[in-house]
Amino acid sequence: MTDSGRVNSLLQAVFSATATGGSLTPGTGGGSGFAVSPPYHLRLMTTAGSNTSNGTEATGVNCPGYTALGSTLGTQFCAAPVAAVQSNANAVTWNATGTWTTVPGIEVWDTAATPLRWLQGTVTSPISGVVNGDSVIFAAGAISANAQSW
Amino acid sequence: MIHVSCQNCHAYDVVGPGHPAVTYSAETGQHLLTDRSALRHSHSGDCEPHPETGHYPLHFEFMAGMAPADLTGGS
Repeated sequence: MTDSGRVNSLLQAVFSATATGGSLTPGTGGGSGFAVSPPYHLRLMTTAGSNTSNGTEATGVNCPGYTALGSTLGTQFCAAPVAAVQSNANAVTWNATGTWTTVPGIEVWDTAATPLRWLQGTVTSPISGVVNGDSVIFAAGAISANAQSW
Repeated sequence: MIHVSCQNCHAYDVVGPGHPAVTYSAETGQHLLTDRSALRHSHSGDCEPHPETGHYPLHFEFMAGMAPADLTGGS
């Protein structure tokens, strides 16, 4: 197990960074540095991914009203973590303009020039039955990143 | 579980496995909302069905604790 204080530091550096972003530069032998490129986007998946492969993203065709590459999670994705757990600070909403295919998964990507996927998971209930005029909402606090067992 | 509410009057139901509006798909292994008429909430008198679909427009909302509890690190 890891020390939650150090995990909190890493999570906060990545997911609490505001629009200015930044980078983490390891010491010699510490591997490659990486950029922190907010704002983060929430993407909807018609096929859920895994820890090692991306899901199949929804499109404006199979989920009318959704736009590829997802919607912003706001200037700051998450407030500071508590006990290695963070959750989204801002709500995300899509307004359906037609019938949606089922959405079982979500992913969180950054907005680098070549975006990187950071988080993925399935929703507790697949999003289904959405038709023209409905809206799909992830409320603030609905999405949690729990690093206690990473 | 997902919080499903009327966009007009905000009457709501919480939908998940075992709910009468939900059907289990053996093909996909998913519990899907397939029968909006089985939602257990009552609209107020001024709620209007959508002119195209005939359905009352709904919010499908994941409240805190209803979406993935543990997103995992991606690649």
